[in-house]
Amino acid sequence: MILRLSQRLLWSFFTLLGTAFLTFFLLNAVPGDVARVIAGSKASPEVIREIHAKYHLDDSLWRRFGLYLGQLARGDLGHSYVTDQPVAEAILTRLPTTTALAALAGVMWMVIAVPLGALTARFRDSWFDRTTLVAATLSLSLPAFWLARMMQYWLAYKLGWFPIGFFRHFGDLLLPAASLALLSVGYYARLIHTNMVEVLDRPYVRAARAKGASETRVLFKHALRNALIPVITILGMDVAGMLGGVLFTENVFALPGIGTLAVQSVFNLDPPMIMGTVLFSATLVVGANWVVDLTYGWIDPRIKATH
Amino acid sequence: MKGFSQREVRAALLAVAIGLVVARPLAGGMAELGTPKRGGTLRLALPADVSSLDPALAFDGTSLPFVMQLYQGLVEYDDGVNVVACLAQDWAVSADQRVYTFHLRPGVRFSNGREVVAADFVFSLERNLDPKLASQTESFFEGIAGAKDFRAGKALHVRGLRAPRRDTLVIELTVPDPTFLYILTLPGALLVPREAVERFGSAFTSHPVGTGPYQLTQWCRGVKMRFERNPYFAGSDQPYLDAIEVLEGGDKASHLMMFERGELDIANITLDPGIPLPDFLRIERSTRWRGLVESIPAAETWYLFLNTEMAPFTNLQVRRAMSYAVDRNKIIRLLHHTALPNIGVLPPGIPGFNTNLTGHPYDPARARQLLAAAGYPEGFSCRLWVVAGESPVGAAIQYDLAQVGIKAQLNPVSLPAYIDSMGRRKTVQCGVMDWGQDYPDPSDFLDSLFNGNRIVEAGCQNITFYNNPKVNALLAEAATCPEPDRRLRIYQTAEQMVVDDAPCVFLYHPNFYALRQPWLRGVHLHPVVYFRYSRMWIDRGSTQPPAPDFP
Repeated sequence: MILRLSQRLLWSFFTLLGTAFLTFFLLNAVPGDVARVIAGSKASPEVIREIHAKYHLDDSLWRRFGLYLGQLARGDLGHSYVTDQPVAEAILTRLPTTTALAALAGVMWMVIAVPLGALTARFRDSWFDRTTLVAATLSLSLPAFWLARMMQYWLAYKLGWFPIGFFRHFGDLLLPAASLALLSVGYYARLIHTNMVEVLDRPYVRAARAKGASETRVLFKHALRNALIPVITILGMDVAGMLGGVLFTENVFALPGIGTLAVQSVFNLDPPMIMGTVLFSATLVVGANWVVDLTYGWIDPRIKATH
Repeated sequence: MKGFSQREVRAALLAVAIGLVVARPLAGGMAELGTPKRGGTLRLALPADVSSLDPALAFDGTSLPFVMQLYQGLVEYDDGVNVVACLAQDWAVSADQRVYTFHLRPGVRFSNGREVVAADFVFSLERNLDPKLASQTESFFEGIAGAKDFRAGKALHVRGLRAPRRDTLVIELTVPDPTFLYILTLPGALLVPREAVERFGSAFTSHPVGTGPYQLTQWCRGVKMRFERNPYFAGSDQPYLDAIEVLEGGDKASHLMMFERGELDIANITLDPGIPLPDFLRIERSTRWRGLVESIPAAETWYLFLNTEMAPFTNLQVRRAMSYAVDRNKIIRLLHHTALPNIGVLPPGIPGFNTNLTGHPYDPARARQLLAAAGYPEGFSCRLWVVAGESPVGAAIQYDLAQVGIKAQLNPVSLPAYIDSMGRRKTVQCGVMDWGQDYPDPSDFLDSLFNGNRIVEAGCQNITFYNNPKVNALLAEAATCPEPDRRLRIYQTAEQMVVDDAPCVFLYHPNFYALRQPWLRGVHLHPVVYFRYSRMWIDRGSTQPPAPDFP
């Protein structure tokens, strides 16, 4: 167990290192002098030289990457070149918005997808099942930015039921979370459906029915609990992925989350901020993988047995 | 431009520009008969982050209007382009035009309560010149005596900055500079208190302390800012609004929707933080909003620059052919008339704008003749740089050039990479770029862009690398010329010579637009600083929010 754990840790470390390496060198492959980004087009050569010295821009890429890693090892993500704000502080101020959005979207997925998935499995091949399948496929194929913009246009701008953007109260997150939920709810409903169909044919479900349990009890107590195990794993990964920033939704609704920070830093060509947001979301995904791996045995005792 | 002489067109252009500057506010003034009211909060949204509120570091269009609410300098602009006293009560200039003696207004305090003394100006100007700070405006101040030694680390202080008394500041220049008062309006000359700068260090950018009408009371970086009255502000022109609330983030489309739903009081359009062009057309046609669009010509020139050190643009006939080949009026139509066509360097509104200037109007037949005479009867190929993702202008030029046989390949590049490349010698053959004013003087355009003595290997602002000794001599003469009228005439002569040599295909001057709610008054766009929030007021009583005109 300890060996497996340390193996995973080592792999996580190399994944993150690889991400840092790729991002760093891709960023530096972009032509243009970063000092010009910082100082603007009218800056004098003296100022440009000063900036080069301050950020070690004249050193070799390898040396600069080494300096960056050293800084990371000390827990310092650096300062933005554009706003001079500490990168870690920028990420932390924006984390609550993204977390609230991801959590709300996650809850919406489950609240809608669980009954849909369970009922379509129970009434397999009925008109209800077919309609849900078509709707699920449709929602899966919608582009995120389009759906978000359309919901914003019709529900907020035209009808005025929701605020158009920005995050002032928790209620401001309802529309963005709904647009996000709508995109994946079809996927989750189908996932639950497939698992349920499989579970409903199992002997223990038949046994439950045979002993006279009500249909609701069979469906939601016996079958659903088992069908949800793989779904929860995927949900955990998805929510962790969203914590790394929900690019399109956050940007359309002007939510000050990690996603808008990432997009803004790309537009600003702000290397420390880009590195910071990329590494932050990479860490979340790697960490979530790790947690899922560890808790798998706890969620599903059968897996512990095979190891 | 058939049917009109160039002179008539230029004169009409000037009239339009003056009309926009003068008549708009007048028309607004008619509609705004009520007296200004105190109170209320102005709500705005910005698509880009405010980079800094440190006057030495903020030189972008997003940050600057807010810096101007927090800080003041010795002088400022009146409602037009004249420089008037601000923190200085008055000033005297020595006979040789090199020494300025400013007497400070008494009783001025920073927002931390401390009284302003002349030494604060010495500190602020020296701080802005320190290369370690990397100020974006420091090069404007290198004319102060001793500034170069200070920047090179050869002197601890700038020799030409002295505070002989608590209320007297002396600034000595190396040579007379008729633009020096304009330079003192730049953000780098705004007054900062030493104790706050030293206390906050690099965090001073988000902890501003100035003498301006407002102070920053909240700034969650990248999320929102709030400005409230500065209790120590002693100016006679007290601001009307109690507070300004700025939301950072979101895109132009969301902002316009919020504005139309009444969630924002002002939406500013075009130039950088703008409204998308299709929406602009809808707004201009809407009976609800049409009367609430404020506009002013931006003192900005867009051009297709030709690198005169790179073939075939070393050839004068080729450069002129390029100028004749491009149809400016078509570009104006593509921009939905949000700009004015242009044949010269100076935008209307800049002193010295010449109604008699002659250029190279659209004439493709003439362009073909010139190309043949230059030895390119079949035309040639070139790489035309454009800023990635911006405007249809590059494609329009490409099409026009193709009509005379010039095959231009568009090369879209991100702005920072573009700026870096175009400032390097023999790197960018030709491209579309713009130059916006720093202050309303012809030198800011002609000297910055076309002075051959300013050519350097990298970071060059003379991006055509145009070097005409006669023009250089005229620019040098005008730079220190003490007689305003003669000085402007010299610049006009220099501009005509530049236009004749065609280092650029001059394209257009854009307008600046803002859209306001009916209850927001006093939005008179300023020709240099555009937004002056301290002059705006809210009056909801006289105007009921109009019913939405949704289809």
